Amino acid sequence: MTTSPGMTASPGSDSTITPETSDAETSQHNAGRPRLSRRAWALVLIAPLIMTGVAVMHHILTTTSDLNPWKGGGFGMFATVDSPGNRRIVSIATLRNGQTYGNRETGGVLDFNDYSETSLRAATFPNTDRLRSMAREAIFFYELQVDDPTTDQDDVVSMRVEVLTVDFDASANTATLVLVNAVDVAAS
Amino acid sequence: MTALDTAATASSSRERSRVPAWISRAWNSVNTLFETRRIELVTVMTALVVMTHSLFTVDDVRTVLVFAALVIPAVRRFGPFWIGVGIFRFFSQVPNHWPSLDNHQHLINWWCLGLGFALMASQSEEAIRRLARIMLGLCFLFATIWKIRSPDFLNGDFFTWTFATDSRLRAFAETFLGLPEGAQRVNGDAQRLLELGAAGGTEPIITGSRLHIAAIITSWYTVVIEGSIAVFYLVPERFRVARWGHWALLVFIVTVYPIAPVVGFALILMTMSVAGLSGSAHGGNRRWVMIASVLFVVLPLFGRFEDLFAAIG
Repeated sequence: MTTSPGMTASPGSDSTITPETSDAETSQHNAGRPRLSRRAWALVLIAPLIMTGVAVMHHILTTTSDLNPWKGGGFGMFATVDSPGNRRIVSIATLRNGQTYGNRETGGVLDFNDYSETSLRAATFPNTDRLRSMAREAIFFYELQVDDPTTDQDDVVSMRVEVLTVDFDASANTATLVLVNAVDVAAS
Repeated sequence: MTALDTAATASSSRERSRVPAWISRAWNSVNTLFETRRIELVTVMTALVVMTHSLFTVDDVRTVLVFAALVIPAVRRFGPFWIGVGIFRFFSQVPNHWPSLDNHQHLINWWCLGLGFALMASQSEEAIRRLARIMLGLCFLFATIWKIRSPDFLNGDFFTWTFATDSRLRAFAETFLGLPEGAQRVNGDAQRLLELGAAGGTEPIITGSRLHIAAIITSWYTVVIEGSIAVFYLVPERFRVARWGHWALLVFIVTVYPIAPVVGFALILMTMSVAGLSGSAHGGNRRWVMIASVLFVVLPLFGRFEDLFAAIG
């Protein structure tokens, strides 16, 4: 009888080995399989329990905080059109003169679609705190780079950061841009 | 001579008359490894996956660690080593790079961690086998649940969109699914136009009725095959279907990965599947181990199917 190190073989477990198996042989083999001790089961179940915990947390965060189903370890990839690659971040400033500033074509005031870790985090997990932080960053950028110090008419009043994604309807063959999350932050 | 040796010799004699000698030798070597040194086979496969499919790690540290596992048997049989690899991979990837981390990288981490703990069990081979079956089952269970509860999967929206816009599938979609030539370029332009507008804006996408039907069939096929794999691996082993998991997994890999090559995922699934086989030397398991070994080498070439479809087109 040939056994591997660490394997406790029972009498008869391998004595009926043939090139092909039958149900009876498999049943016999199953019956001879070593039973795991309680400690061994505890060791076996650690990783599956972590895996299940992450999947449950992933489900909660996708439902409550717009975490992208494709990322985060919950196995939601290839299940929806809403992939991180289809998400887009836009920052638009509202000015004192009532006009808005920011070209959507280039991502608005500050282009967050540059595949940096910051933009990937925001696109993948656009929770409100993260978007507020980006809005403050966009305000700082505007005041430093765009604002004309000779007039207060182009002062930024508030900054809106939006995360958008694509929704596709195959029956109508149309793609629609939909809002995932957005924040408006007043300039101090 | 043991019963195993007798069976292997008889099997080898039959095969020698039909296949070249080197294939016969390779067949026997892999089977011997599987039968007598299962843990060796599984840990070597795991080491190869970790070495070739790690991201964002400190390359030198990773290479030295895992190379040590490849060349020193005592290292790869040492449970805390794999626990360390799992934790090292976690901290080098997840905290800073989780937004771009694919799910199979998480799965590799958990497998390393689980493998380490299972190696510390007194019945380590059986513990690894049970671990592999549970993790494979859970992986496909979660994937199936996601696809069923997704609002745009079973109705075919996801695959219609993917076939119509994903450049990796362009040749396949144009060759076999009737997507008009150049449609993906037009659809890409439409997508860019869409992104320039505000929420609520719409753009037409070129698809085709044949492509939509194929997308619905593909969606249901994916749910059925993934759900089946989950059931086959999670059902108690006294049921007959518990023996079908690795064959269903093979069907899944052969039908899905040539079109959507996520090689790292396929390799870790193959590794876990070999680990999850029962310990018997029967013919089904032998064939599976050989197929798994061949796929382990061939899978990295699957990405080249895109070029093949392009050539056919």
